[in-house]
Formats: sequence, C-alpha cells, structure tokens
Amino acid sequence: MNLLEVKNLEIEFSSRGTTTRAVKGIDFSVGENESVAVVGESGSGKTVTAMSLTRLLPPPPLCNVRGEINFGGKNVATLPPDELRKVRGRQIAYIFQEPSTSLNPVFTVGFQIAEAVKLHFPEEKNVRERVVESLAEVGIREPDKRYDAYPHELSGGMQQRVMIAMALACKPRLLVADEPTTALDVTIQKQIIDLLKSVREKRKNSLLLITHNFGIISELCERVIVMFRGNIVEQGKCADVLHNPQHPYTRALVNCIPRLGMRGRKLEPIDYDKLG
Amino acid sequence: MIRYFLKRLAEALPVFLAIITAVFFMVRFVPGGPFDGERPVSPETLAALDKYYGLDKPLAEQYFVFLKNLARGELGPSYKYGGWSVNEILAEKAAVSLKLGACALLVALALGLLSGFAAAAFSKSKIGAAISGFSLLGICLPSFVLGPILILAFALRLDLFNAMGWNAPSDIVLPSITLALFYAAWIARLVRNGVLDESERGYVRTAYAKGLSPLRVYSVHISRNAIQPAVSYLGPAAAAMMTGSFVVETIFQIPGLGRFFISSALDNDYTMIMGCVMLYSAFIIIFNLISDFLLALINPRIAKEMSK
Repeated sequence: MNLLEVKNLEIEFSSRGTTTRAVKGIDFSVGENESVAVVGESGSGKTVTAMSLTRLLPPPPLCNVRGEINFGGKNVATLPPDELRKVRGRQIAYIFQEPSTSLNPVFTVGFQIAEAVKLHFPEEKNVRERVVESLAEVGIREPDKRYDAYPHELSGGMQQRVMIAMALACKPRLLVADEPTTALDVTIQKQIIDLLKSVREKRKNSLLLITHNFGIISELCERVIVMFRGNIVEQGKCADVLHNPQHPYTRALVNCIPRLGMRGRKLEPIDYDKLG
Repeated sequence: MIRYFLKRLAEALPVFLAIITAVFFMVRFVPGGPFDGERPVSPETLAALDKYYGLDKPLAEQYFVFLKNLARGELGPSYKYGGWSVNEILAEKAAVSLKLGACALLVALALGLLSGFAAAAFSKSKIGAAISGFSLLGICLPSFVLGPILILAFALRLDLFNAMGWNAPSDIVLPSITLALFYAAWIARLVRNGVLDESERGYVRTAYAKGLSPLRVYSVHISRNAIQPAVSYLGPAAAAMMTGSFVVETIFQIPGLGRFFISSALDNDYTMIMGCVMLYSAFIIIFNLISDFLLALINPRIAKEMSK
C-alpha cells in the first residue's frame, strides 16, 4: 500500500457561470520514502493537484474536487474538518513558491514555527528548543537569535529555509514542495535543493516536488509525473522519462532543456498545434 | 523608536508654527474686525477698543506680541466674550468636547471593529451585505439628520434619555452615538476590506496548511494585518471627534467647543480663532503620532522603517 494514492482526481473551477476543468481525472501514487516530481507548464494543473491533497483550494462552489485521495489508509477528500486539520502540517506539510508572501509579516519566524509544533504536539514542553533545533537543521546560523527575527529581516533564501523548517518541525510523512526554488536566485536554488536532498536522506520522508524545472528533478526525485492540460501524459523513472520520453509533449518539454554543447543551436519552443 | 517619535514631535513644531502664522495673518486680512456689530460703534470707541487690545499696532508687532504671549501659554482675551480669556474658554469648553469625543471614539471603535469583522466573516451571505449596507448608510447619513432621528426615537418616543442638554450623566449617550456613527461606519468598511484583502494572502494558506483552525487564522494571523488601515485612520478621526462637532453640539445643546470653531470665525474673534486652530492642529499632530505608534507596535516592519 502506497502512502498516497490518488484516484480519478478531478478539479473544477467555476466563476460567473464558466467552468474550467483544471485537472481531468488523474491517478498517481507516492510510496513511503519515495520522491516523486510532478512537472508541467503553468496551467497544467500541477499546483492545484498539490493543494487538493489537503483541501487547501477554495471551497465549493468556487472549486469542486472529486475523486479519492487516500493517505495512510484514510480518504482525505471526505475527512471531517477537525480530522483534516490533524493531517495538515502533521502528516502532509507544504513548502510554497514565494517564501516572502508565505510568511506572516507581523509575527516572528519562531512564533510561526512554534505555532505548528504547539498545535500538533500539545504535550511538548520545550517548544522553543525544538523550533531552534529545526532552524539549525535547515542550516540557519545562530538559530536561537533568528527565532526572534521577523520575516522581512531575512533574505529570500533564509525565508525559504524557515518555510522548510516549519514544514519539518512536525515530522510530516509527506512533504509537498510547490516550486520551492522558482522565486529564488540560481545560487540559492542550488542550496535549497541540496538542503531538501540532505533532509530527505536523514528524515526518510516522502517528497512530492512540483516544478517546471527539469534540472532539479533528477537531483531530487526517483520518479516523475508529466502533466499537460490537466492530464497525466507520462510517468516513470526519472532517467527513463528524461532520456526516452514517450509522449510528444514530454519530448517537446525535454527538448526545451538547455544543455552543454548546444552552442549555436536554438532552443525549440513547444509547438502546441502539433500536440493537438 | 522612542527617538523616532521625539524626532517626529520636533518636526511637527515648525509645521505648527507655520499653521498659526498663516492663520494669524489670514484672519486679519479678512475685511471687518472683532468689534463690527449690527449697531455701529463710534470711531472714538473703536479706536479706544483697538488701543486697549493692541490692535492699533502694526501687524508685525501684533504677531510678535502674540508669539511672546503664546510662549507663556497666554492666548489673550476673547474679543467677543468680554471678561473671558481664550484660555478659560478653551479649558471649560474643550473639556466637555473631549469627554463627548472620547466617548464617541470608544463607540466608534467598538461598533466599527465589531461590524467590520462581522461583515467580513459573513461577506458571502446576506448578513454581510446588510452590515455593509448599514455602514454605507452610516457614512452617507449626516449628523443633522441622525441626531434628530435619535432624539425622536429614544428621547421623545421611548423617553429613555433627555432630548438635549448636558446635565444628567446619560446625556452623553445620544450625542456620542450621533457623533460616532460616521466614524464607526468608516472603521467598519476599512476593517472589512482589510480582512477580505488579507485573507487572500499567501501567509493565510501557510497558516491553513499548518493545520490551524479558521478561528485562529482569522483572529491571530489575519486580524493583526487587517486592522492596520483602520488604525491609521484613527489619528485624524480621534482629533476630529475630540475637538467637538458644531452640528452635534448644536443639536443636543452641549456647551462644547464645536460652535466656537464657527462663531469665532464669523465674529472675527482673532484670539479665539487662534485658540481653536492651535488646539485642533495640536490634536491632529498628537493623534497621528499615537496612531503611528500603534501601527509600529502592530507591524514590526513599520517600526523598523521608523528606527532607521
């Protein structure tokens, strides 16, 4: 039994009478201690898929989610709200794209992490110690001092480390990282990827990485799921998909990756007419 | 941050001086004088009066005398109310307006915050629409309409309060509400829009993703960000309420400062005009400082910008 089994997931957004099907009935799974990437371009439905796992999307009628989301033997899609809140943060934790807007500007980062710890571990006595430990774990220097820092006093990379510390503080079984490096400088991106890698080696948690960047997939993930216009068009081992893409969209996507030795050749944009 | 506020206070001093200088000369360039009444006064009497009050001296000299007296805290005699100094009038009338204004401020805050949060919480239902509608009404309804309505309903019909006057302790209720409703409505709108804007932010999603309950997300994460526009509005609002309202004090026959803002200007009561202007600008300056101070307490980023 996989840790996460998603069956026939459909996500629809409706506003002013028009309905948009963002995800059109997909099945996928993430195993215990497995690391899976979801790739696809903007609008392919990968982020809403990630958000739907703990029902973080707007409630109906704005957004309708159908299908089964089985996590650790429970169907998250039908859990009552108080049960759902025990899954959020504790079982499935998130890292979002924009660390600067994902942290509340008026509270210290320590407070924001401690809040999650207190919620899920009410019997924990040394909350501060535990938060400082998790700040240290994500490579924040002087973690005891940084506990009392406000988000605006930290750089983007540090803010993302705080987000990771917050996600890890409650020891989740599945970490969902939604474009965790997109908003960061290239050098910082590398640091964050290395951090996620080392954390995973130590924690043995499962990882679902949402990205449009093929470069970071092979570093972090064993398996890759390719999404296109709300469907999964291909999935398989990273190496297989990257080197031997089957679906025309995946081929086109892989062709867009700049490589060494390509000097003088143009990158090919995706020709959507050919994809139908 | 304390240094920042001391600096702001020091910066306010030249502004204050500029205001009183401008007003000092403006009122004296207005045609007519404090002693022009319906009954013509003989030129000899007028000259004697001008001499007595020092109005026969050159303007520049009058200005310096005014500043010299101001430095000692003396605002001079009122030209209209013989025997009263402006200091005495301000002390007596401003106390009444201050009491009424403070009461109205509390009403405006309680009502505004409560209905603002309620309007946001029920924004998708008819309750929210109703609260928003009422707050729009509160903004549009002038106090000279609201005041008589309240008098009709609560004083004359239900006989709960006196219709007017300033004797019984309960006399403060109706005028406070009349004065407060406009500000309460503004605060409600600012809070409602603040909450709705803030609930779209990324940190709200983070808070839910942590597993927090909607109650905690709203009461801890959203509210502290959402009240900031209302807090910055509080400065000018408090100053306006506490310096007295001409309309409200006239309707309810309250011996406050409000009517002096109008009457002193109509009477060319130079010293009284200066007193009112100085009090009002001092209140504006002080209450804006207080609301900025509150903002700095709420939002550390603002505090940081201030301590730069």
